[in-house]
Amino acid sequence: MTTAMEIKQVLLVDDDLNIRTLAQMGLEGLTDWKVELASSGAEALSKAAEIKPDLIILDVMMPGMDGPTTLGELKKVESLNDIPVIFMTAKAQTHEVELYQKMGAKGIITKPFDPMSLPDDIQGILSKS
Amino acid sequence: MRHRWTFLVGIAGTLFLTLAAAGYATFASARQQQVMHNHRVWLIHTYDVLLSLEEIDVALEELVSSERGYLIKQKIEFKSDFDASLKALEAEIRKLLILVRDNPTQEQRAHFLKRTIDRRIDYLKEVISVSEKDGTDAARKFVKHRGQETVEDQADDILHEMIASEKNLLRFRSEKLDRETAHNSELFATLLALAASALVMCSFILIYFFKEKNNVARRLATQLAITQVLNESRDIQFAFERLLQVLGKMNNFRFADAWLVTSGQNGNELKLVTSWSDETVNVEKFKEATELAKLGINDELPGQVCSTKAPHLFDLVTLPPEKFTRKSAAMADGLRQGLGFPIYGQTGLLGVMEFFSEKLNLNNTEQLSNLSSFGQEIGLFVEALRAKEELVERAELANFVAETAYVLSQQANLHEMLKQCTSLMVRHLNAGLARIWAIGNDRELKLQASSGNVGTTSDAQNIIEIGTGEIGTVAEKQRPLLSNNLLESAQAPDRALIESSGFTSIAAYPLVFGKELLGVLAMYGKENISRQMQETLSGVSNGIALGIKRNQAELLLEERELLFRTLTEQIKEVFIVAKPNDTFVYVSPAYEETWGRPIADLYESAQNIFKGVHPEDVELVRNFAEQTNIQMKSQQVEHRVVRPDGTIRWIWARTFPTLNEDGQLETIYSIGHDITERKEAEKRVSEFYSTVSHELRTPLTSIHASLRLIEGGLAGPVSDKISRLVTIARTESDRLIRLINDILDIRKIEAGRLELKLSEKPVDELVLGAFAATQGMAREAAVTLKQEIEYHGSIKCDADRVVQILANFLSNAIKYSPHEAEVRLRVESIGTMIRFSVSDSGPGIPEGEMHKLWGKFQQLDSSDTRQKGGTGLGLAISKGLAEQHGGRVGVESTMGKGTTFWVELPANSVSARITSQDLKSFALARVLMVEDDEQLSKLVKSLLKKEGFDVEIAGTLEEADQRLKEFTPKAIILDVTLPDGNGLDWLKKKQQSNNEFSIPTVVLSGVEKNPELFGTAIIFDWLIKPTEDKRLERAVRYAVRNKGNAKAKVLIIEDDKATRELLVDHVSRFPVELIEATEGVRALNLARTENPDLIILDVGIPAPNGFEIVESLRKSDQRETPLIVYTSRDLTKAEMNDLTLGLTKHLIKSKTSEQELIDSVKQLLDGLVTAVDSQSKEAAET
Repeated sequence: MTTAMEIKQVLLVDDDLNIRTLAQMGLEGLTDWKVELASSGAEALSKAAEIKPDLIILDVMMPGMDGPTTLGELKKVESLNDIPVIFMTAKAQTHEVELYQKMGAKGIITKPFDPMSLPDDIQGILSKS
Repeated sequence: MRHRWTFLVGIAGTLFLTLAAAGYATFASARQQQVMHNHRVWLIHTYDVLLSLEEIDVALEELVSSERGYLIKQKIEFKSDFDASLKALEAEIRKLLILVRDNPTQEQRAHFLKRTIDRRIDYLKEVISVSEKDGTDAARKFVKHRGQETVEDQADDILHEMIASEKNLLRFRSEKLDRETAHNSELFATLLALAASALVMCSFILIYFFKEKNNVARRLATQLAITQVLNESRDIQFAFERLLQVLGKMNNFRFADAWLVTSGQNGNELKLVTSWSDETVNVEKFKEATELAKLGINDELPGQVCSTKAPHLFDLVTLPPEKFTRKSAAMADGLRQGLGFPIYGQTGLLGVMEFFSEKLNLNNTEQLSNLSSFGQEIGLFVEALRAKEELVERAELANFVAETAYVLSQQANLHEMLKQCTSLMVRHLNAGLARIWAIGNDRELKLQASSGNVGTTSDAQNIIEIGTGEIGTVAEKQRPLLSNNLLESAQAPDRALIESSGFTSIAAYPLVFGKELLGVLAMYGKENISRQMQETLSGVSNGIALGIKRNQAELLLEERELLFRTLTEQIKEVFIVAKPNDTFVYVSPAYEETWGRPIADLYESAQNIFKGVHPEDVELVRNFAEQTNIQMKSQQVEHRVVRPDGTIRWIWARTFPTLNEDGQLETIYSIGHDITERKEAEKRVSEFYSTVSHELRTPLTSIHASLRLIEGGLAGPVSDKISRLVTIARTESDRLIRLINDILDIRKIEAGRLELKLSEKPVDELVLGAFAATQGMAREAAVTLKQEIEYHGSIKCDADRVVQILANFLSNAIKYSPHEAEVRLRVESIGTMIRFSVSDSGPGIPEGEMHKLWGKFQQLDSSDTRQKGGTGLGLAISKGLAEQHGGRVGVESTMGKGTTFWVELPANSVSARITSQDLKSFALARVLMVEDDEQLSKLVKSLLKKEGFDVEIAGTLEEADQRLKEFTPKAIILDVTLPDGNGLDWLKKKQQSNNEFSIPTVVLSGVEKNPELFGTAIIFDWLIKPTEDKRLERAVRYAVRNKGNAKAKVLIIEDDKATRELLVDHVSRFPVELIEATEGVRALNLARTENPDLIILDVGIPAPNGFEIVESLRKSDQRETPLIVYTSRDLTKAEMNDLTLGLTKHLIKSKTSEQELIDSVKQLLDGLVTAVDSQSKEAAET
C-alpha cells in the first residue's frame, strides 16, 4: 500500500478500556505501528505533547472533554495542530461527518469497527485526504 | 472437554431460536405481556442454570488438575490451587442446588451430583493427605490401588445429563416464548428481550475465550429486563411489582420492597408501594413487619438512603434495633444483609428500593453500584407515569366541569338538570353515590336526584331534617364536609348507608346563592377524593346553585355568563365558548396564564388566537377548527403554543359542538389542556431509550471486535471447531448491530424525528450505491445483479436513505433467489414519480400474505429470520423512509415466478416538512405599515392577516421609528403623506444614516410613482391607492420573500420549438430570468424547484400534460403562481376552470396578437418587473 505518510506512532483515545485494548491489539498485530493509549481528552492532550504521534484516533463521546473539544484544543497548540486526527464514533450521521471534517478531522471510523480492517481503513482515510 | 463445545453449539443454536422469535409478532394484551414476561424470566433462569453447570465442570477440572499437579510436583502452589477450586466448587454446587429448586428432576440429579462430587472430593483429599504424610510415591500407589476413573466418569455423566436436560428445557422455553410472541408487537420490548438473550450468550462465548469472569452478561441482562418491565408497565404499582421480582430473582435476593415519598399529614413520609419475596424461603415475619412499618422520611434503612441520597449496604446483624425497627423479624427470617438505593427523578428524590439476602457480603459493592445505577432510570419512568396519571385526572375534571356547565345552561327542566349533574359525577368523578337535595317549604331537604349504585335502597335520605346527620349538618352550618375517613368523621354519618355499601369518603357542599340555602350536594366514594376533585366540586356546587336559581326565575344573559365563569374559572384548563361565525363569547382566565396573552385580543378577533399558535402548527389548528364546523362532531388536536417570552407549551385541545333544533351548529365548547409536562416526560423516556441503545452498542462494539480478532488469528491460533463457533458468534453480533440500528431508525420514523438531508442526486449514483452495498451478498449467494436504467435524470432525495431502501429490496431479492439467478433493478419515470423496482425469480409471496409484508417483524415464515438473517424491520423502515420522501412502496408477486418490490419517489421531493417550514417563514412575517388612515390600515391588517402576515401599524413617522426600535419587520408598507412628514424623505434618511437599512418597502400612496426613488433596492413596489387586495398581498409577499434584488423568474412550458423561441423572444424584453421546459416531468420539477413568478403553459405537451401539471401544482406551494395558458385549441369553461392557478389568463394562439401576449406577461408580472426596468429595456431596444 502506498501512502503519502509514514506512520510510526499512533495515539488512541477512548474512554472505554475494552475498546482501547481491542483497537490496540488490531493495530499492533497487523502493522508495526506503536500504539499509545489515552483514556480521556485531557490525557490525550498531554500524551500528544509528550510523544508527538503521527496520528491520533479520537473517540467522539467521552465524559468531560469530548472528541470535538479535544480536537479544538489540539488545533490551538502549534506543535500539535498538524497531527492528523481521525474520529471514532457510533453510526455517524451525514451531517456530523461534514461537521467533523470542517473542524479539521481527516475522517471517521464508525463503531462498531472491525479491528482486522482498521489499519486499511485508516490508510484509506489518510490517502484520500 | 467435548461437552463444553456441544454446550456452546447448543448456546449458539438457541441464539438462533431466540432470534427467530423476532419473526412473529402482532398484538398482545397486557395479560399476554405478563405471560411473555414470565417466559423471559424463565429463559434467563435457564441460562443461569447452564452457566452454573458449566462452572462446576470447570471447577471440577481445575480441582483434578491441581491435585495431579500436587502429586507430580509436590509444590505448595498446587495445594492452594486445590483449596481454591474446592471452595469454588462447593459454592457453585450450593448455588446450583438453589437454582434447580423449581425443577424436581434436575434437583434430584443435582443432589446426586453433589454426592458424587463429594465422594470425589473426599477421595482427592485422601490422596493429598497420603501424599503429605507419606510422600508422592505412596500417594501414587494409593491412586493406582483405588482406581478413580469410575467416580470421575460418574460425575461427568451426571453433569452431561443435566446439561442436556437443561438445554432441552431452554429450547422448550424459547419455543414457548416464540408462540407467545406470535401475538405480540410491542416492538421495543420484544427486541430488547431478544437482544438480552443474544447478548447474554455472546458474552458467554467471550467469557470462555478470555477466561474472565466478569458481570457483563448479568448487568446487561438486568438492564434489559428493567427497560422491558418499564416499557410494559402501565402503572407504578405494576411496574414496581415486576421490577422487584426481576431484580430479586436475578440477583438471588430473598426479599425486596419499594418505598415512595408521599406527602402525609406530618409532612413527607415513605409509603410502601409493594414488596416481593422469594417463594422458596420463608420470610413471612419480615414481610409482615415491612407492611406494618410506618416510616418517616428519615426513618430506618430507607430513611438513611433518603437522607444521604446514596446507595447503602447494611450489615443487619450489627445494626442497632432503634435504627432498624424490623431487626427482630429480619433475624428470625435469617436475613443478614440489606441493600438500598435511591430512586431519582428530574424533580429529585422519589423513593427507595431495598433488597435483602441471607448472606453477608459487604464487599459486594459492584452489585450495589450496578443496581443503584438503575435508580435514575426507574425514577424517570415513575415521573412520566405520574404526569400521565395527573393529566388523566385533570382532563376528567375539566370534562366534568364543561359538561356540567353545558347541562346547567341548557337544561330547562330542574329535575332533569339535577339528575344529569349527579350522573356526570358518577361518570367523571367515579362517585359511588352522588345526590342532590333541594330545600322544601317546610325547611326540609328533599332528595331531588340520585345516581350511583347503593346496593340497598335507603329511604333514610329521602327527606332530611336540617341539622341531623352529616347532610343535615352541612345544610345547617352551610359549610362543606370533606372526609376520606368517613367512619371516624366527627359528624354523625348515615351509618346504615355507609356500612351497607362500604363507602369510605365523602364530599358534601351546601348549595348557596348569596346567603340563601338552596340545598346540598354530596358524593360518597370508596376511594379517596383528591384535593383537586374537592376544589372542582366546590366550584360546581356554586354553579348548580345558580342553575337552581335560574330555574326558579329565568336568568338574564349576563347571569348565564356568570354561570360559566363561576364554573370554568375553577379549572386550570382553557375553556372557550365560540359561535359558528368565528367569534368567541367566552374565554376562561386560564388562557392568559397558559398562552401568556391577553384575553381581550380574542374578543377582538378570534383569529388572534393564531398569534400564539406555533407557526408549524397553525395549519393543524385551523384544520381542527374547520373540521369541527364541517363535521359538527367533536375533534381533538395536540399543538404547541409560543408564549410572548418564547417559551413553548404543549396543548391538547378538544371541541364539543352543540347543535340547535334544526341540526345546525349553535355553540362550540372547547377545552385546552396544558400537557407540556407530559410531553417532557415522554421526551425523557424516549431519550432514555436512545441511551439504552447506546449502552447496547458499546458492549457490542467490544464483543464484535474481540470476535473479529480471534477470527483474524490475532489472539493466537485456534482450532477449526473454535473458529467455526467464533464465526457463528460474530455473524450473530453483526445481526445484533443491524438490529439496533434498525430499532433506532424505526423509532425515529415513528416519532417523526427522522430528518431527511435532501440534495439533487443522479439516479445512476443511487443505483451504484445500492449495488455496492449488496454486491458481496450477491456473490456469496451466486446471484447476478442487473440494472435497467431508463431514467437517467436526478432526483431530490436523501441519498443515504434511498440507497438504504434499494439495498434492502436488493438484499431481500438476493435472499429469496435460487442459485445462479438474476436480480434486476429497474428505474423509470412514471408521471411525476421515479419508480425503482427490484425483481427476483424467487418463490413468490402468497396473495394473502402480502399485506403483512410492511409491518414490523414480518418475515413471512418465522424460520426465515433464522435462515435469511434479517431483522424483520427492513421493509417497515423502507416504507417509512419512502413516505418521508413523499413517495410510496408496493409489491407484486406471482407464486413460483418471482416478486417485484418497488418504491416511487417524487422526482423532486416535496415533503410536508418543507411546506411547514415555508409556512413558518410566512406566518412569522411581521410587517410594519406606516399609514395615518386608520380605517385603511385596519383593513390592510385584517386582509394580510388571512395571508399569514402580522401587520403592526404606525400612524406617524415618529411612531414608525419607535416600532423599528422594537422589531425588524420583514417588510414595510409606506404611505407618502404622513402627519409628521414625507414618508419617502424619511426612508431616504433612514438609508443614508444606516447603510444596512434594507427592509424591502412597498409604497402604498395616492401619490404617483417617483421615478427617482422607485427602483432603488429597497423600494420594491409602488401601488397607487386604491389598490386591488390581491395586488397588495402579492407585493407584500414578494417583498417578504425579498425578491427585490433578484430577477423575476418565468417558466415557459412548450414543446414546439418555433413557438418556444417566439415566447422567449417576447418575454426576454422584460428583465427576467427565463427557464424552459419541453415536457411535463421536467416542467413540474422546475415549477417546484425554481418557484417561478409566472408560468406560460402549453396544454398539449408530452405527459404529464398541461391539465395534469396544473392539477399537481394546485396541491403544492405553487398554487398561487400567476399563469398564462397559451394554447392552440379552444377551451371550454370547465377546462378553463381546471387550468387556473393564481392570476390566470387563457390565450388562444391563433387569436392572440403579439402585443396582447406581451401585455399579459407584463400585467401578470406587475409588481415584480419594475416599470423603470422595463421601460429602460424598451428604450435600449429602440
